[in-house]
Amino acid sequence: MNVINTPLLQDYVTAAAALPGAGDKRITALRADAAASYRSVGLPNPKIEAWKYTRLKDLEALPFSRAEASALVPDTVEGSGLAALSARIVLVDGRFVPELSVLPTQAGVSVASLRSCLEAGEAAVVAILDRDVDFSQAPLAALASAYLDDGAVLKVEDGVSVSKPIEVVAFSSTDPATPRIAFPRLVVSLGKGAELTLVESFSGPALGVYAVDAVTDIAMAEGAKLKHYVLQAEGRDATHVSTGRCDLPKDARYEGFILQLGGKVSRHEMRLRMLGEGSDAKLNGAYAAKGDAICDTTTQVDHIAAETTTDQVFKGILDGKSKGIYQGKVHVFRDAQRIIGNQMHNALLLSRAAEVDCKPELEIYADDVKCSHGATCGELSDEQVFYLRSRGVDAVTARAMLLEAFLGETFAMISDEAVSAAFAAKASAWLDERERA
Amino acid sequence: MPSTIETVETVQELTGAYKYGFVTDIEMDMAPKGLSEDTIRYISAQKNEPEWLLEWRLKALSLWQKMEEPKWAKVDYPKIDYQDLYYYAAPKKKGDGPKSLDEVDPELLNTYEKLGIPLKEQEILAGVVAVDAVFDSVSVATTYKAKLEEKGIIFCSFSEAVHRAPELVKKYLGSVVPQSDNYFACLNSAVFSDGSFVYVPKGVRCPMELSTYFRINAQNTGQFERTLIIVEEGSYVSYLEGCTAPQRDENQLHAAVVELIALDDAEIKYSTVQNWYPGDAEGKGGIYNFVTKRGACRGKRSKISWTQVETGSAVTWKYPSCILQGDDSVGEFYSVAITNNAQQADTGTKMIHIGKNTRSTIVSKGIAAGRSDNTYRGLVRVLAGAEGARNYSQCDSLLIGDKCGAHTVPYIESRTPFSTLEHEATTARISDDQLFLCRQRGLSSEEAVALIVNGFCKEVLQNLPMEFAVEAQKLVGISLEGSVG
Amino acid sequence: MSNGLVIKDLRVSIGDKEILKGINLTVEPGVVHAIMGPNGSGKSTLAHVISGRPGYEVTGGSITFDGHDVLEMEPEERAAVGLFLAFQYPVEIPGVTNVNFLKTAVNSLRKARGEKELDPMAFLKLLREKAKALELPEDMLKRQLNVGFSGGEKKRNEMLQMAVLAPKLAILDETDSGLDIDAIRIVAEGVNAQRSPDRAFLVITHYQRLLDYIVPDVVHVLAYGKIVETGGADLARRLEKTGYAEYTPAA
Ligand SMILES: Nc1ncnc2c1ncn2[C@@H]1O[C@H](COP(=O)(O)OP(=O)(O)O)[C@@H](O)[C@H]1O
Ligand SMILES: [Mg+2]
Repeated sequence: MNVINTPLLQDYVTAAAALPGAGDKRITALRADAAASYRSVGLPNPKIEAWKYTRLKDLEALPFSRAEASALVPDTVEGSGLAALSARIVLVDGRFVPELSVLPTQAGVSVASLRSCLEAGEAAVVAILDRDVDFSQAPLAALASAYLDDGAVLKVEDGVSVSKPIEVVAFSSTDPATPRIAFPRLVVSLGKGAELTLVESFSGPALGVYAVDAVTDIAMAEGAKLKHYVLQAEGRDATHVSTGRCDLPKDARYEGFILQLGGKVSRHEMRLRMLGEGSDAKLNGAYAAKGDAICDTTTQVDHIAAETTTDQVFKGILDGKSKGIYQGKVHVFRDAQRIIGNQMHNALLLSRAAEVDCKPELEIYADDVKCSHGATCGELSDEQVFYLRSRGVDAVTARAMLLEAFLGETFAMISDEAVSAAFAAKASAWLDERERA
Repeated sequence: MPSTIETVETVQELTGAYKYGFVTDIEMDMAPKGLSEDTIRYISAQKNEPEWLLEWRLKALSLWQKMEEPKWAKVDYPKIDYQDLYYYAAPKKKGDGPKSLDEVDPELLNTYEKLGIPLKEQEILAGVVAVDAVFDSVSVATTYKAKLEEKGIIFCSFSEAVHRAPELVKKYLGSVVPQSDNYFACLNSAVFSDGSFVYVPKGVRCPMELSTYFRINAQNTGQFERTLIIVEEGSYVSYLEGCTAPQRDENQLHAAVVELIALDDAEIKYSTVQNWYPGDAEGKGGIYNFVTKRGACRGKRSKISWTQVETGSAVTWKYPSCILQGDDSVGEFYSVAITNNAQQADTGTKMIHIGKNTRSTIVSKGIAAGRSDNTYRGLVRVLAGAEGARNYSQCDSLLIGDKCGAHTVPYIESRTPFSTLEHEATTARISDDQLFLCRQRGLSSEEAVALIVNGFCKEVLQNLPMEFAVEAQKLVGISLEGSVG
Repeated sequence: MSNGLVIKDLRVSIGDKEILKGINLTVEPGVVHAIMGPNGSGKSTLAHVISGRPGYEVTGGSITFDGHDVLEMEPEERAAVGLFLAFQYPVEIPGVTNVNFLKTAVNSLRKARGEKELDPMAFLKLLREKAKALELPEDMLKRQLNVGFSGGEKKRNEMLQMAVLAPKLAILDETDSGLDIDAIRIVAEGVNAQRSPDRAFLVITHYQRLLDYIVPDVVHVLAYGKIVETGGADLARRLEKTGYAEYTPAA
């Protein structure tokens, strides 16, 4: 029915047989379910409510093929620019590259290639991959799971607090001859009371068509604490889709941030499931788009257990003919009482041709809840611009200051100071480039 | 007397049961059961309609036969068998039909009397409200016609308008809600029976509230009314509608279409108190209320304001909307939707900003109790070129009990930087502390709920014309009876 | 050329409504003028038009400052030639810290005047000094601009900006409103400390109270879009007793 179906799933049976762990029933079943699900839904289209606003035009139009192991592994790959790290894991076109990676040395922290775990049929990893997922609203996650192959597995044992952030860089290459799609996959497991700061960076060549279909699975044990920061800085012609999923048991803490600055069409989706009482999540983010880029941030928070709290703040800047999308759903399940769930989205449109679509959503089945969402969109405040100008600041600088301040408020919510500074710097660079253009 | 005490007293006065559930025993003319070209020819012939209107209906039928019932709303009901319904029911005419109110069947007058809508002119609120009473498929009486005609205002049943003002009907029918707009609107376009028609000429401020009272009586009958309101340059009208139906075990279908047109500097205020039979506590029976209401602010500085109090119906699917075409035009939507027991409501609005400096305000209060589901679904869309557009939306939900659901699904789409859109939503419940305070002061828990909920809805209720506001406050209390133990 | 502010027959409208109906006013260097008048008479409008706030249509007349054609200039250019407005309602700017804002402003002005940027240490020293004089706590400098400031804090923050930016003409638009008597005293002392032969003030106020502390050289009454009376400091005291009732709208 659609192009990607043909080259990718046509020879699927043969391809699947060659994937790691093909002899393991659970793994093959998982892949087969995902493939069936993708086949029935196809590429995202407006009929899928969760994809109402975003179409993956390149995937629809071009004959993408699965990225083979890259012959051309670059010498270095750019990430968030953080210097002090406990480990730096590099995936190129979805494949774990030990030569480029710096592995952790701390006891109780381990990193392995997903491929090796699948080949060994590692039960703990398969269990995380096999958590029930609704692929009907997430066709690209289904596609990625159909081709479950390589990536990284990061484990932190009970009670271990990882001293410095661990960064996972997913770099994609581009092939001028044929457009390729990579499936970087990250599996993270945090033991009881474990603590980790995880930075995921997505990048690729500045120019040239490629696609990334990433999935991140995070499992936390009781009382674990995770800071999960995502930087999406793909090249200008990239199609980027990533789907994250994190389950929070009792007393788990999650602090997430999604910064999206790159790509031609990008969609970052994060789903949090509040499974244990006392779990708490903060999920914030910022995005900026220009040219004819489409930048989509979608979140879903399921309050399944009582006494769980979430808070979300997202801000975006849209310039040129770009389009920004924010969809955020807070779902409070029956009997999940004493819930707090807040959500806010603010967008600034900088040009006449820019567009923003926003759908914050509350679905609530319990009465003792305090949930709210807010959304605003508009332009920079004239009053503020004038105030700055009346003090002698020229119009261009005044606007730049206000834009930086607008996004800056979200970076202030990143509790890791180094990451906060690094992300603010990335956004600043984006704004500088915009101004120069 | 402070209104709060008044509310509590009113609630005390009234007892639990749906008080409009009685059936009027009257002889009816019915169309043959089922939906076909023949049904439509029958309806059209009954109304002596011109050829073009029959053609228009038939076109709608053929469109409808190709359409699918929408599934996106958060409502769940058994499949409707459209061939198992009567599409037309009218009280048997005695001779030529009534020339004046004196000739109206006393049984009908009696029915409206019982509903609290006296149709004898001298009794109607000292001349401030004119009423069009629609009984099943036809309008049975319109009051104060003569007085309105003096000002050039036409207020009559839709069937009458087809003959009295054919040019206007032809020009505006379907111009706001096209036949193909949606499944239920299309069905209505094919089979609509009666409804109200209002025309206010240039520069006239309608001196009284215009009101239509809809009553479904007959069994297995759908009600498909169609209302068309046209307000010319610089004119104003305030229109109210009320709805009730008997208590029956079967579900009944109501699929109405309302079209409003406001030209330069015109203003239309449209208020609804919808209290169709909601079904019993177990969810048996009740009205399926699938309604398309839309207003076009065609003129500069025109204004359309929707206020609705939705307490009835088993299933409600309704999104009164404004198309803000004229520069500086204004759209408003004030809504209270209450669901109790097994009721389901999916309601909200669409504000489409096309003209420059258009403004819209949305205030929605959803209250869910029992095992009901209550959804606000709204769209605010600002098209490129709608510079200076502003929207403010506020959607609050209140949950009573832990078996119900309250949902908020706003879509906000902006295509111009020179616009300001603000949306806020909150969900809360009646806190034990609030209830306790009221009870400590001597209120029963039901009185306390009525009091608190009325406070929660105040911003909306105060937009209703006075005569309706009191009625609506009572309704709020009654609708929630049995919601706290 | 330093002949101060010269306004000639200024007419200003908002939409279709004429607010200022022919204002003539000259504020010479070093002189303190006060403008008093009933609410809605156009005092803020005048201040805004001088500083170049968008939203007003100048339908006639001229404004010059030291020979510059003010109406032809951008707001920041007006600031660069030494015009300063202390707003009646200072706007909040989330995400921009007070320090960062002032540093940017100071350096923008210096740049526009062809001066070298201040080094950060020198700037901080200057800022601390001025803040101290206005009894502003130091943590206010690190806070976001006007965000969560009380009414009085906002006004004092305006005075801090004035002290740091050292304008040639400072327009104070109802700086006293919302201040208690102690705060008024602090503000007045700040202003008085800055009075000098090359710095003029235009003090807009509704009440005479502020003028007990900042004694003006000239007092004007603005009513219904026109300056209806001009006098010395005693005019303010007279108005304190009689109010503005004697000034009725022009026919
Ligand atoms: N943005 C505006 N739109 C329309 N009228 C305005 C606006 N701002 C001020 N006005 C009107 O202009 C007149 C003068 O206002 P203003 O200059 O603020 O007076 P003052 O500062 O003396 O109290 C008032 O009548 C006020 O209502
Ligand atoms: Mg003022």
